[in-house]
Amino acid sequence: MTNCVRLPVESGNINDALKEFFSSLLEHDVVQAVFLPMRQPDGVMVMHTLVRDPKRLEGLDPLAPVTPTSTARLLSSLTFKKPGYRIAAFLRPCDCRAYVELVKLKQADREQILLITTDCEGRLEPRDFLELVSEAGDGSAMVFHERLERDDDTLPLVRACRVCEHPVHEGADIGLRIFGSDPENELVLCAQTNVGTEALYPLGLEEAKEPEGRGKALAEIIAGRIAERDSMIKEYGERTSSFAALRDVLKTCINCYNCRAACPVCYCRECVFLTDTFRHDPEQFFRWAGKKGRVKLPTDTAFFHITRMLHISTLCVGCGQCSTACPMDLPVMELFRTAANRTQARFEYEPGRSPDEPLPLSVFEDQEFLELTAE
Amino acid sequence: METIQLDNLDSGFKRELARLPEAANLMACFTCLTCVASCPVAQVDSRFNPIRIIRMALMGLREDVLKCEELWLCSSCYTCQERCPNDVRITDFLTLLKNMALKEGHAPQGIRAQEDLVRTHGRIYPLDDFDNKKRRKIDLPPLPTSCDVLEALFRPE
Amino acid sequence: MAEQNLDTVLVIGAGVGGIKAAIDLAERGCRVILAESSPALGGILSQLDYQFPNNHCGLCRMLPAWERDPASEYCMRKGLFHRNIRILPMTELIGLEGGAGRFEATLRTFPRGVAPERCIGCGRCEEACPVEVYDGFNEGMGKRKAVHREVPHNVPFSYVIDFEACTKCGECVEACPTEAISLEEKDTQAVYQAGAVILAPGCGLYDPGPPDAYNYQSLPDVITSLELERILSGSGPTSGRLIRPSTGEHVRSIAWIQCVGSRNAGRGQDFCSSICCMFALKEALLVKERSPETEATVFYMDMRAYGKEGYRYHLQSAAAGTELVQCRVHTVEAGPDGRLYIRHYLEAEGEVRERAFDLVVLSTGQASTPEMKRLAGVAGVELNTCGFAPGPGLRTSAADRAGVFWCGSATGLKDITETVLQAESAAAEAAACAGVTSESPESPSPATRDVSREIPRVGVLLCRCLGGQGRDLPWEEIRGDIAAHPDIVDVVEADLLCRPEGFDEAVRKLGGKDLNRLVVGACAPYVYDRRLRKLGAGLGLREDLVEVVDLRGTGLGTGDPREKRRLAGSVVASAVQKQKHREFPGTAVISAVRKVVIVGGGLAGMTAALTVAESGIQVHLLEKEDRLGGETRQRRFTLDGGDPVSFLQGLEERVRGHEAIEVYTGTELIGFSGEPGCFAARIQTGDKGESLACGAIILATGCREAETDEYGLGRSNRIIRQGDLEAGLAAGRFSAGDLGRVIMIQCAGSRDPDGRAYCSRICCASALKNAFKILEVNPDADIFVLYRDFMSYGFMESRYRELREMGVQFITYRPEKKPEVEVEGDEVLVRFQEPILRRTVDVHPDLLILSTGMEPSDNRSLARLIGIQLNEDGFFQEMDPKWRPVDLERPGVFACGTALSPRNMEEAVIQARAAAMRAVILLGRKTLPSSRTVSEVRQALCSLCETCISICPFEARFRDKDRIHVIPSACQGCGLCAAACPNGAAWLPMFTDRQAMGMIEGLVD
Repeated sequence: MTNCVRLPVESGNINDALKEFFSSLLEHDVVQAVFLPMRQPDGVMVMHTLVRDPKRLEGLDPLAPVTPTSTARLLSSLTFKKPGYRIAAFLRPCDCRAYVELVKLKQADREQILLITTDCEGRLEPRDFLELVSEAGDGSAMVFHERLERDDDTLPLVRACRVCEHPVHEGADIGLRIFGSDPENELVLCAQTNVGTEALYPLGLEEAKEPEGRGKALAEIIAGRIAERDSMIKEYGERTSSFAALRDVLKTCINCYNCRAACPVCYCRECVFLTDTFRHDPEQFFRWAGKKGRVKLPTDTAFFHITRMLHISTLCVGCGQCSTACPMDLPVMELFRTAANRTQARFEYEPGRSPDEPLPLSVFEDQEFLELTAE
Repeated sequence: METIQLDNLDSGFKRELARLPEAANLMACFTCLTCVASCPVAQVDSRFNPIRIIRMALMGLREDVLKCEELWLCSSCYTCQERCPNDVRITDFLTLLKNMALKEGHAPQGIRAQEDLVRTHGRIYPLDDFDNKKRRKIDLPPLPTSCDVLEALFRPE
Repeated sequence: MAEQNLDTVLVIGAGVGGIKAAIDLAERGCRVILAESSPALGGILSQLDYQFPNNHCGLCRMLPAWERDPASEYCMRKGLFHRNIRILPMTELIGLEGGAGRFEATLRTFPRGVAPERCIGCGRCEEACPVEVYDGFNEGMGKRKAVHREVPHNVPFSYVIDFEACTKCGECVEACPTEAISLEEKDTQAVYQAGAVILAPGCGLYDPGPPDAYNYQSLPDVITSLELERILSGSGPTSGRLIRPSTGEHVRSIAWIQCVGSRNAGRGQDFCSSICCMFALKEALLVKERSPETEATVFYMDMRAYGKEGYRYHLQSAAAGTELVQCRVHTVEAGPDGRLYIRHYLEAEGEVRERAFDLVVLSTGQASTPEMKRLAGVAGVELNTCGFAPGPGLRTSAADRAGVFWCGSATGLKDITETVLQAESAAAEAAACAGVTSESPESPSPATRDVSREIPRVGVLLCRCLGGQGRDLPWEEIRGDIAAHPDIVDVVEADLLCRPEGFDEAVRKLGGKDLNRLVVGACAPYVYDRRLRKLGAGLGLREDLVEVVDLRGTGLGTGDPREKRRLAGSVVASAVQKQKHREFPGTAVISAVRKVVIVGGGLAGMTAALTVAESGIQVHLLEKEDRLGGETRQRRFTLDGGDPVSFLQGLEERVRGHEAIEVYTGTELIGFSGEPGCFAARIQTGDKGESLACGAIILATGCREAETDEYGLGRSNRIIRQGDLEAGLAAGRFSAGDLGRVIMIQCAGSRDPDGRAYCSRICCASALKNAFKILEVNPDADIFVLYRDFMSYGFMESRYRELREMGVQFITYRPEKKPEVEVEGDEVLVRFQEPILRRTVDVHPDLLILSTGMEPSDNRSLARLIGIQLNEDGFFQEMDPKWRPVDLERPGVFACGTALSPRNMEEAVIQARAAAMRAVILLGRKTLPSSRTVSEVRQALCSLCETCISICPFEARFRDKDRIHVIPSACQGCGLCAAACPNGAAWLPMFTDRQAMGMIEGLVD
C-alpha cells in the first residue's frame, strides 16, 4: 500500500526540500513538534533538536552522516510519559528498532509518534564527521552520499554500519528513499503504515513511485553487509572462545560505563553496577589479592560486560553507539553482536521487528531449553 | 440379523427365570465378559458365547434362546461359573435352558435321536446279539438287549 | 499427666488427609497432636513420585500459605514443622474416653530404637546390620536391613529399627558413632485431652495373592500398580528404568488389569475403588512419556474417569496411544516364551483373542485393614459392611460418635483432591467442636533481639565428629583459615554436638560473645533443627540467623587433608557470606476485615455461610434469586434415602436464624477490588447499590440441569430429563401404567469433545435413584439404561448391583453409534445397537429419560469482575486442582459447589466447608503476616518496564501509576521477578545478589 510523494530538489540542496516538508507537517498541524538532526549554532556539529515553530527549522540536516548519541534514547526521554503532542521524529533504522524495544519496555510511547526514517548508508564517528564538514561544509550529506556511490573506501564508515544488515526499517510510518534513487533532483518519501499515509495526505504533495532500482540496490547492500558481519562474528567468536580470551580482550576496560550510558536499550534508571551490590568492602579486595597474590583494579570489568550481555544482548540492535562512546577503543559492538547473534537466534527474536513481539524474557514456555533444563 | 422388536418380547421372562435356583443372580450380570473370555469352547468356536445367551434371556427373547443351537455346544466345564464376579450360575443356567428347550421340543435333531434311543433301549448305544457274541468270545457274560422297566419309566402319567 | 488442652484436636494418621487436617487446624489456631503409626509422614503419597496434572511431587503445596515456619519450611520430605503441631511418629490410639469437647485419648508410642535427635544418618548401623528383609517402601521389591530409613529420600536421614526383624545382635549399637541406638527401649503410653478427634488412618490396598488366576505370586512380571509406581520412580528398585523384573529387559508392552479386588460382589468386594481408572490412565501416560514405543493396553469394564477433568484426561491418555479394551480379565498365564498371555473377548470382532505382554499391572483397589477395624473399635464408631468408614451422608463428616470425624481413604479410596477437601471439611467441624475461639491466638514468636542495625558479628561452631569421619581432619588449620575472616568473632569447636554433653558445651562456649549470626558446621542439616532453634533462642537470635552447613555431606570424608581443609574452609566461608549480607525486610502486614462475602445462596453457599459464621466471622450471603436454595430445590430424594427437601429447609432456617449471617436476596455482585484481608465488594439489590468491606469472598453460584438438542428433547412429552422425572415422581404424577417400559440414555450431550466435554458425575447416580423410585411405583417396570461408562464409583456400586438384580438392564453404546430417537405422533421410537447380540433393537417406551447432566451458571462476567479464570467448560479454575482445590487464582477468593466442579450434594457440602475453612484461616488472625520471602521493589531503581509483572506466575505484582506493587499474600517468593529484573529493583530479601555472590565467592578460589 506504499503511496509515495516526491520532494523536488533545487540544485542539489536536499535540506531545503526537507525543510519544506517538515514545516508543512507543522503548518498542517499533522504534528505539533518535529524532532530531527540540526546543525548547531556553531554551524558544525549536528544534534537532534525538538522544534515546535515551523519558522525555526533553519539549519536542519537530517541526512548528515553522524549520530553523536542514541536518538532512540533521546526520543524516549520525550515520551516515557504520554507527551500530549504528536511528534514527527526522524531516526535512522537502528534507532527506530531500538525505539521499538524501548516501547516494549514501557520506556517510550509509539502512538503519538510519527516515525520517519531513511534508507541508511551509515554514519561517521563524530571526529571523522567534523573532518568531512571542514572539507564539504553544509553539503556534507550529499558529499558523503556521492563518495559512497563511487565506493570511495577512504571514507571511515563506522564498523557497526559496515556490518549492519538492517539499512531500512519497514516499521517506520514514513521512509525516505535513498537507495536506487536520485537525491540530486528529487527526494521520494513513502508511507509504510496507515499512519504514514494519513500524515502525507493533507500535505498535498506530488505523487511518486518507489524508485525502480531500489530493490536491487538494497539487496546488494544487505548481501555485502551480511558477509562483513559474518566474518566479524567469526573473528570475535574465535577471539573470545574462552573466558581467559574474553578477559584479555576486555583487559583495558576502565569501568567508565560509557557504553551502557550510550546504549539505547540499556534502559535501567540506575545500573546495578552503580548500586551497593558492587560497592565491595575494602577487605574484599584484600581477600581477593590474598587468594591469588594480587588483583587488578578496577575489578568486575569482564563481569560488567558479561552481565550487560546477559541483560540486553537479546535486544541489541547493533547501532554501535557503545563503541563510539568507549574511550579505550574496546570492540564493544563487535563483542555484543557476536553474543547477540547467538542469543537472538536461540530465542528466534529480532529486536525492533515489531512492537507486538513479546520480549524473550517475558514469555515462559514449559518445554523450553530442554538441553539445559532436562536432567 | 433382523431388528429386535422389543415391544413384542416377553419382558417377564427374566424375572420368571430368576425365580429358579439355577438362574439365581442371573440378572446381576454386568456384562464384564469374563465368562466368554475364559470359555474354552468360545475360544475354538466363536458361535458359542455364554454372555450372548444370557443377554438373549434377559432381553426376553424366550423362543430364540430356547431354539438356539449354540446352547448345546456348552461342555459344562464350569469355568465361567467359577469365574463370574457376580456369582451367576452360568453353567447351571445353560443346563436349565437345555431342559426347557427339550421339554418344549426345541432340542436339535441329534439330541432328539439320542433321546429316542434312551427311551427304547435305555442306552445311547443300543446292544444286540452281535455284541454278546463278541463278549462270549472273550468270556464276558452277556448283557440284556432290551429293558423292561423303560416302559414303566417313560409311561406318561 | 493429661494436658489440659480443650482447643486441641487429635489427628490419627499422617497421610495426606491427616497432614492437611492438621495444618489447617494449626493455621486456624488449634493445637494439634498428629499421631502416625509408622515412623514417617506422608502415607502412601511418599511412595508416589508423580502426580497429575504436572507429574511432580507437590506435597509442599499443602504447606501454610500465610505463616511459614522460618526454618527451611519448603519441602514436606524434610518434615513438617509447625509450632502448633506436635507430631508423634510410631504412635497409635489405644483408648478414647469422654466425649465431644472433652476427650481423653490414650496413645501408645513404640520404640524407634534410634534416637532421632542423635542419629546423623551416617549409615554405619545399616552397614553393620546382618538382618535382611523385604523392603516395604519398594513394595517388597528389593531388600533392606532391620535398621533402615523408612522413606529413603526423606530428610533428615534418621534411621529406625524394625524390631520385628531385629535379632538384637547389637552390631548397630557398636557401629553408631553417636550412641544413638538402644535396643532395650519399651513402649510408652500417655494420655492427652482433646476437644475433637479426626481419624485418618487411610485404607489398605487389595492383596492380589492367591486364590487368584493372575499368578501374581508365581510370575515376577505380574505386579501391582503401586509396584509399577516404584519401578518408574527414581528412588525405586530399578532407579526409574522400565524393565521386566524377571529378565531386566526393556518393557515393550504393558497391560493394566482394572478392578482387581474391586467390583467383585462374589468375593464381598461390592464396591468400586474410585481412583484406579485415573491411576491406570496416569501410569499409561507416564509409560508413554518414558518410552513412546511401548504398547500400553488397559483392560477395563467401565472407564471411570469421572468429574470435571476426568473425560478430558481419558481422551488425553487415549490420544497418547493408550489402548482401552473393554473386557474384565480373569487369567494371566505365562507362555513358553516367558511372556504373559491374556485371553479376552473383543466385542468388535465378537471373538476371543489372546495377546502377549511383557508386563502385567494389576490395578489393585481399596481394602479394609485390621488397623481400621481396631481404630473404629477403640474410637467406638461403626464401619460399613465392607469394613470402611461410612460416607459423610448429607449431615456432616462426623462418625456416629459426636466429636469423632473420619477423613481420607478410610471412607473409601480417594484421589488427592477429594482427600484434601474432606480433610479441610473435617478440620472445620473439628475446630468448631473443639470450641476454637473465632480469633486464633497470634503465634508467640520467641523473644529475639533486633540485630538488623548491628554490624555483623558471626560466630562459627564446628562439630569435630562428623559421624566419625571428622576425627582425622586438620581442625587447627581449618579453624585458623576460618578465624581469619574479618566478620567472624570466634570459632568454637565441639565434640558430638548431637549429644547433650556436646551441645551444652557449645552453648557454654558461645555465650557472652554478643553474636548476631551463627554458622554451624556439622552433619546433615535439619538433623538438629529443633535444638538449633533452642541454641538460637539461647543467644537471643531468630531461627534464620542460625545457618547450618553440612560438612560431612560436602565429601570431607574423602580426599587428602589439604583438600578437606580447603573444602571445610570454603563451605563455612560461603555460609558466613550468606549471613553477613542478609537483609532484614519488614514483613508486610495487612489488617484483616473479618467478614466474608458469599455469592450464591444454594446448598454450597448456605453451608459455607454457616461454617464461617459458626467460627465467629461475619457473613454477607448474596443470592440473585428472591429465595435461597438454588438448584438443590429441585432435588426431592437421594440415592441413599436422604431427604434433601427437609435438609435444605433446616439449613435455610439455621442460616436465616444466625445473627452473624446477613442474607441479601435478589442481589448481585457488581464490583470487586482490594487485596486479601481487605476487599471492597459492590453489590446491587434492585436499583439500590451498596458497598461491603470483606476480607475474603467465596463463590458458590451453582449450576443448572443442562439442556440438549439430542434425542428429540422437547419434541414429545414422553421425552424428559432426569430432573423432570424426579419432580414428576415426587409429585406422584406418574402411575404404574405410565412406567411400563422406560428407556434412559446417559451422557446426553455430555462427555462430548464438541459439546460438554466433562462428566457431570451425578447423572449415573440420578439414573439409579430414579430407577429405584420407578420400581416402587411399578415393580414390573421394564427399564433399560443405555450408557457408555457407568460411573457408580465408591460404594454406589452396590446400589448399581441391586438395581440389576431387580431386573433393570444396562446396555452400553459407543459415542460413534449413539441411540437414535424418532417421534412418531404420540409414540417415540428408540433404536439402539445391542453390542452383545450385535443386533439393532427397536422399542417404543412409555418414557424416554435423558441424563443431560449439569452445566455451571454463566460466570463469565463474574470472573471478569473479580479477575479469575474459568476453564473451557465454564467452571471456575482452581489455583491448584489437587492441593488447593477451593482456592482460585486471585488470593482471598475461594469457590465451592457445582460452579467449581460437578458433584453430588454430599460432596458439595464437604467442598463448601473446605472453602469456608480456607476463608476462616485467612481471616483467623487480626493481621496477615505473609511468608518471609516476599519479593520487594526498590522504587528508586525501578524503571517501570513491567517485565516482573509479565513474568510473575502468581499475579502477585501490579502497576499503579508510577509504582510497581507486590501483593504479599500472593507472592510465593519464587524469585522469577528478581531474576528477570536487570538492576535488582525487584528483589528477594532473603536471597540478595550480595549473598549469592558472597556465597559463590566463598566456595571458589
